[in-house]
Amino acid sequence: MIFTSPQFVLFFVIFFLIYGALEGRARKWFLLIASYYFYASWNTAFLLLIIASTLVDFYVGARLADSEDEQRRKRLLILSIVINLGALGFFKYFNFFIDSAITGLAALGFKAHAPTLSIILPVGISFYTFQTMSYTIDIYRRKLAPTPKLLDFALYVAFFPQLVAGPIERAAHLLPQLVNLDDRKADLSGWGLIALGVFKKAVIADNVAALVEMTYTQPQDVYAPALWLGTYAFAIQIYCDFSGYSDIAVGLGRLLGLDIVQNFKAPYAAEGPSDFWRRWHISLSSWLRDYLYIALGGNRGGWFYVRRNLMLTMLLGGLWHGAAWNFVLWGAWHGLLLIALRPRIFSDLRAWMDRRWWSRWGGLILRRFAFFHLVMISWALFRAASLKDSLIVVGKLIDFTAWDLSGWLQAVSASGEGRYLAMMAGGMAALVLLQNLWPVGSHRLVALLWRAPAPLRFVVIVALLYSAALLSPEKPPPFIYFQF
Amino acid sequence: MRNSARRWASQPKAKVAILGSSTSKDWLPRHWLGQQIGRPPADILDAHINGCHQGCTWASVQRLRQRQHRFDMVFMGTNLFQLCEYPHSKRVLQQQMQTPATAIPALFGIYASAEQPLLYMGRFLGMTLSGAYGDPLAVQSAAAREVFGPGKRGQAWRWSRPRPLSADDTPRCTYSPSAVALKRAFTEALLDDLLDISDHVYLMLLPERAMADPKDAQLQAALTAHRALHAALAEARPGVTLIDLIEGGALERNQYRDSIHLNARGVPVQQRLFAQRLKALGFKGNAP
Repeated sequence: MIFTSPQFVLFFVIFFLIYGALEGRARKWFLLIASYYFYASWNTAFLLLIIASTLVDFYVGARLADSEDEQRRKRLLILSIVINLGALGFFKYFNFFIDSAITGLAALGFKAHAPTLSIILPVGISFYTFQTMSYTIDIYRRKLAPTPKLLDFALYVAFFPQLVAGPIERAAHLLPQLVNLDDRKADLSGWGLIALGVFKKAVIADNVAALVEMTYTQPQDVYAPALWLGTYAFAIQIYCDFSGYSDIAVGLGRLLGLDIVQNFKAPYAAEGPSDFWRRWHISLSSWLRDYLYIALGGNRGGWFYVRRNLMLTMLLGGLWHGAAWNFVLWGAWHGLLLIALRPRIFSDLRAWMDRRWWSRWGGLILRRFAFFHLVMISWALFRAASLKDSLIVVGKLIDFTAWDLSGWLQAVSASGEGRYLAMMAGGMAALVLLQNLWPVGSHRLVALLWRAPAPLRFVVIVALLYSAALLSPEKPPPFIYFQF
Repeated sequence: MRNSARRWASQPKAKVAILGSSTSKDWLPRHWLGQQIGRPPADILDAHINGCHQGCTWASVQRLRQRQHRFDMVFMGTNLFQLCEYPHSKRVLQQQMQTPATAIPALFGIYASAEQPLLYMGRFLGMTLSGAYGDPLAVQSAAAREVFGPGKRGQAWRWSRPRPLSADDTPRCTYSPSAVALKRAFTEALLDDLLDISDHVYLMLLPERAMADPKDAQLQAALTAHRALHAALAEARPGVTLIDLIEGGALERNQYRDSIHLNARGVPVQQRLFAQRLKALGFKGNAP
């Protein structure tokens, strides 16, 4: 039941009407049952996993707050982490590690046979596991008091708008809102975010997906300029797909009177790796910073330890996305960028350039342009079907000596697709340019729309939804981040 | 569909019917079938509709029942490709145009087996209430021609690579349970309702070009499941006989003009096999 399906529309309309008529505990129970129903529509059996995770972390949270014995508290925290990461590890990484071990042994000349299980990945497990872990870790760090009511905590874990693909909410932010559900007033600007999210997904992401599919299938045969075009298209696809999903989630939350965190803020206007991670999948990057990077030591320690912490955080961030080596490589690339662009010389150079207006603007454009293309390399690693394909694609992208631009232009002409490709490329470039000229997130856009008169708001929302219905391709691909 | 309706009207007393899509009929001319089963061509109604899969054929049967057609036997073909759910709005249009009002609840009951039941119900109701065929793909296609130009048919891949991605453009059916649930429900309802208007139903399993590749494990698994499903459906219904035209049939790539339609080389191969199968079933033809 994805957000853009007719089933979800019907589900939400019925849910919304009943939800509005209820109050107090009845409203909370109804929201929980609806959230469980929403999740069960993917796979009923895995509902037990969410319920188990909820019970474990509620119990651990309560015991953590009761205890003053630091050893006991540590044991309780380890129990929570082992159970959560154990479930995540089994369902998401079991076959990956077995396959990798067999391949590694084979490379050393040993033949090994080990079982690989037919494991289905429970949808959203990476998101709700991180969410429940943040609850127990915050209580352990004495930053958060546990909620006394299981119902409130179960709602926090299973709240359906952000259950299957985030944003990853912190208990300190979402739980108090859920506790006082009756006080929350519906914010109709949620419709604006929903319409914008649906437009991004159905009109932009799903339509550029064809270019990506064409270039990333058997990439060894693809012309290098075509591969660049496919990589730009993937950058647009993954941004519009994931930020579209997040917009819909936040919009649904607003209609229920709940504030869900912003997950994206014009990421392709980033000037460097740290800036990028303050703009892209913000709820994950801040989670990794607060619970992994800082736990590893963060910026404390010597030159080596800081870089080790950065690299480990990004490697695990890559692995979080998927159990495959190309995701690990993607994380490694981002780790490398964070390390390589960290030296003081870069900030000194920037301060020096910022002294004159022309060098300030020149430097800004140069930094954004260069970093955008470094991110393109990471998307190539991310999108390729396998590690082998990743290396082929990146090799082609950076080997400019193998480019035959005139030959490719002849091929474009022979295909009869010249005007289509030019308009797609122009549209994608315009989107990135707009993001750079006006680097704001969807929240800001909708806030501006909400300043306009009501009839205009209505027209814009209907236009966005109508164009999504009209321009969605025949077989739209599912949301990319559902697989994580 | 209009051509088909005209044929139905011109032969109200026909005793044999050929139903299904063009893949059921292309290789099965009425006079040739008449020779194999010992009936005059006038006795045989060509009730096929191009692109008419199980849902459309089920709707045709509802319409034939409403018109009080009654047959001694019906021949209907289906192939692996048709068994996968394929939510093109033209499929709903075919059903909307043919399903009598009394059969709409039954149709919606079948839609409930689909991956997105509301999509089909919404399209059906949208077309019925508006009286218009709401096909966004047709709008997209017309707008794309206008904006991007006509393009070059069959050459679109050239911008990305020097060789086409794959020589075989056959739409593939994975045969996963969720992908075939709707078509399975349609096939079951179709066979049951066909037995209401006909004494006997001959369900033909047709080959397609993809089957020329015996090494494709996924395809072979899907084919095994396909055969098992139809064998079980036929076995559960005494009036239905399965005629397997895959084994020993047209399984060479050069016997097809596209992924599913036979060419002049393929048609005689299929006809030869079909004639053998009919003989084995006890038909005494009057072929010269």
